[in-house]
Amino acid sequence: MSLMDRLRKAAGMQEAPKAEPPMPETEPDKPDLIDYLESLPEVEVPYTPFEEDKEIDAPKRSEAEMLACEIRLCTRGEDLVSLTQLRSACENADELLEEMKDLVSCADILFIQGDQDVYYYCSTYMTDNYAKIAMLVLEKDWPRTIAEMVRFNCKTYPCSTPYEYFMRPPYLMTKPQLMRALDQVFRNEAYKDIVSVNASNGAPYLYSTEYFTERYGKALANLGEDDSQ
Amino acid sequence: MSAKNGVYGWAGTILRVNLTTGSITFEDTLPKYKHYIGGMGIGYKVLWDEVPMDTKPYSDAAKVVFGVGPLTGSAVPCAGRTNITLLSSWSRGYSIIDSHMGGHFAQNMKYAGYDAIIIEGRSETPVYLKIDDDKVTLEDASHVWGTGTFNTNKVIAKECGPEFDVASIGQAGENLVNMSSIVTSVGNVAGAGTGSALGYKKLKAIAVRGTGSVLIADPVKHKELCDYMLRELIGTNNNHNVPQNPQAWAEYSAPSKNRWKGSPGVVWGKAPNGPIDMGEQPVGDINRISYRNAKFMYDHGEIVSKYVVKVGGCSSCPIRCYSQYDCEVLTEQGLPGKVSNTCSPTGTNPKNFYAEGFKDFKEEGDGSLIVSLHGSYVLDDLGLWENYGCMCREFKFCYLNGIFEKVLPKEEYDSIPWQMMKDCDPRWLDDIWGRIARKEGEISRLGEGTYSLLRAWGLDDPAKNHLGINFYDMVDANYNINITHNGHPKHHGPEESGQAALLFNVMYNRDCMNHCLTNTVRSGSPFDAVIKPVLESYFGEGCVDAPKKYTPINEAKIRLAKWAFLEKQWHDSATLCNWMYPMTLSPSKARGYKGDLELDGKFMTAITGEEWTTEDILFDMERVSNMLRGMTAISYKIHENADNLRKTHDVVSAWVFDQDPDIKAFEPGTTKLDREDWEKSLDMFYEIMGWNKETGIPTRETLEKFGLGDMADKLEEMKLI
Repeated sequence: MSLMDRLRKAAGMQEAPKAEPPMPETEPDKPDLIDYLESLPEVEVPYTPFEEDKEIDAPKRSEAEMLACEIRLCTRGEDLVSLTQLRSACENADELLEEMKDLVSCADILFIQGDQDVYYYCSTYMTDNYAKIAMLVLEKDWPRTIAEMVRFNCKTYPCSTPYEYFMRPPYLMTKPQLMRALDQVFRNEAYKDIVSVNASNGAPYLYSTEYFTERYGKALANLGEDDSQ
Repeated sequence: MSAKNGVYGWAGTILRVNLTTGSITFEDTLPKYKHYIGGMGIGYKVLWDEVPMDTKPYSDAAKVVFGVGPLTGSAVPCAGRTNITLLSSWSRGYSIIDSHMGGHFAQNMKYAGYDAIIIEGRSETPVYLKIDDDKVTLEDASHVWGTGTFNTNKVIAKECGPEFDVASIGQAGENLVNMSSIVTSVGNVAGAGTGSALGYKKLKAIAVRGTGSVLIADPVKHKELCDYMLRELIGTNNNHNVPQNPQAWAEYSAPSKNRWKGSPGVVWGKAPNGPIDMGEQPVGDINRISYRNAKFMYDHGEIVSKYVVKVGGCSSCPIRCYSQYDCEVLTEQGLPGKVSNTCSPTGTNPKNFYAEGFKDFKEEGDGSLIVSLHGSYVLDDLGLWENYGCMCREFKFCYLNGIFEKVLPKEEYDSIPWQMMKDCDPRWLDDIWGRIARKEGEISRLGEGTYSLLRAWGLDDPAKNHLGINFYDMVDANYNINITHNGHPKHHGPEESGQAALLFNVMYNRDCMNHCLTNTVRSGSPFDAVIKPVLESYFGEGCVDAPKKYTPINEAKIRLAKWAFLEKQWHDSATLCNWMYPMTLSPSKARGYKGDLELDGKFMTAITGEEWTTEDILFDMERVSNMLRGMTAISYKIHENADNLRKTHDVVSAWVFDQDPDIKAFEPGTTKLDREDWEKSLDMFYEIMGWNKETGIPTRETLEKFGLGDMADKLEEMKLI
């Protein structure tokens, strides 16, 4: 079983289903492509032929570098890889991760600390900001996710955050999940700066009183709803 | 000279069609029009030289100029627009305006060999203009006169051949409804009364096929620039440069509304071989640019995904801002189910024609969607235009405030099937818009345009209506988006970019169609980290304010306003899509998210073989901008007996200063502006443009700087300078 398969299994993921070939469309008789190509006159190939039996000098990678490659592959699929998954798939994962820190060839492998685990990603394919979001989504601490992202959005853009933001990818919270999470946010002292406001058209938004006044939070909610063409 | 003689960029020929005499003649584009560039520039030069400003828009002496530019058809990304210049039949002053449309018409026109088509005179019978490269004829159009644009385009394309691109008018244009349009392809529309301008001339359509090409002086450099733009600079619709939903490769995203809505989980539900997920679209992957834009989501939300077949677009544009739908809810009602809308979906505006709200069709909340999809079809088929949403808002306002009961004869009022509206019947739009398009009854005055409508129904004078309002000044953004008292609304105005946006919004004789600032400030990029440093690197410190945290006017904002004003003229002369250009920002973190404002000059150099810089381009566009201003001044003198644009044309609606009465201008949380600050803004803008501070009219010195001495003579003759 390949490392990728072991990682999938560790993550509880099912094998990707094999794609069904498309149903052939009914078309009028067309000449067979291979027959047609074979009917054409031979031409001189300008390129040096590929030597099938020739041994290719593939770069020799250490075990740590190969692990890094697997992490890169996961990141290309927009996924983080947790330390738990790595340990489950690879007995000496800790040792290899420690070794990676000193390898220039693995300088793109970073990690982010979550509450429940440590998560690895490749900075070539995933930004730190997205890794933070992906970690929050994986850990499914929705109240924390809401509070941290609302604060981040206020500070960074700045903007108030529509409720429906958390129902979009990559969060994909259902409405009941969102409303339960918001209830917890509003009742938690640690998140007392997170406030709800309605835009003029009634769309509900969130902002942090650490960054916005009520007026400003509402003004930015209105701006967020402006759908001028 | 023509392309055959080795002209690079330009096609080299202007086609002139006289519908009165039937004559068809050809002129050289160069050298006469070189420093007007093309498109809008050629249109303004032609109208200035050949059409006295007291010409009535609906007259044989009026001319309509279809124009393209040296970049059109050159495969420069997003260079597929046709500009149309004409005299306004509906905005105050009846002065010079432009409209433009996308699709594929511009490419065909250019490949047929024409930089402009001048339509003059008037035919006695309905005709269409058939352009087949250098074979140009007028053909009988009586068999399509009275039919909609979709039928007309289909019939004429069938007659001429499938390679022909057809642009036609509908019943609105035929009946001289001011709020009319020309429609090409699957819903690319040129509004602003272009339909009735051709309708008066009995020109039902133009069909064009071009089999030629555009000569490129340095094709290697040209290709390099195109690839560079696609790899590093281009974002998505409105050149928004961050995705709305977080994507793994992206540092930023846009929690509130922006245009980069393609993402994993956003799906074309009705794609032919099964749903297509739009996935991620990292910067640098030029094959995925077209998946960035999911305008259907922006317009309608996720509820529409199940009806989306695909996205489409104009020639040489990777953005694909159209949404194309197949909606069985409509077909089940015997209505066209395959509908489309472009970046500017007039289809979302029908919502205001359902003044009492919506009912569900197949699922909760789908009422407004269904009527909008049908509205896309009906509006375009009739060739009706809605003044960037004004007509729809005016309807809803009048309905809810009892205006119709006051102004419509009882018999007419009773004849209108209001119950269809209340029942959320899609066919309500066929009825009410059909009345407007056929000029039936007093309610059809909605089709005259805001300026005429408000005057006729006394809504521009508190003493003349039971509400005691001047609609232009009313503080209610649900209904009033007028920026002046001239009959046209704001188009991304002070609510987004403060004084700078208000300045260029005010300068035109229709909504400004200028996206230079909104594309940046509404891109979704963080203000402090990206928008502010990028814009300040070009225009200086303080040129842009944080959202809803405005500050008083300053020199940097004036520079920004002037640049945005001139840039729009460039886009409509080049021609480039002014929803996309300029490339101010970039989605590339490696570039610090900064675009390249020198790109356009580089393209001009590579294509024409002559050295062009952005400075050169903007100099020529300042010429065109002064022509706009001078011709507006002349029109206002003739039609308004006004010799001062500052005190007439440039007077801003009161709501801009009076909104949010419990807060002062320049406090966080409001976009209201200050009257004194606005007057100072005008002073500074007039000064930078070289216009008289008292009147806002270009001085002789300024006009002569741009070779417009004859315009200065005319202004002097009319005692305007």
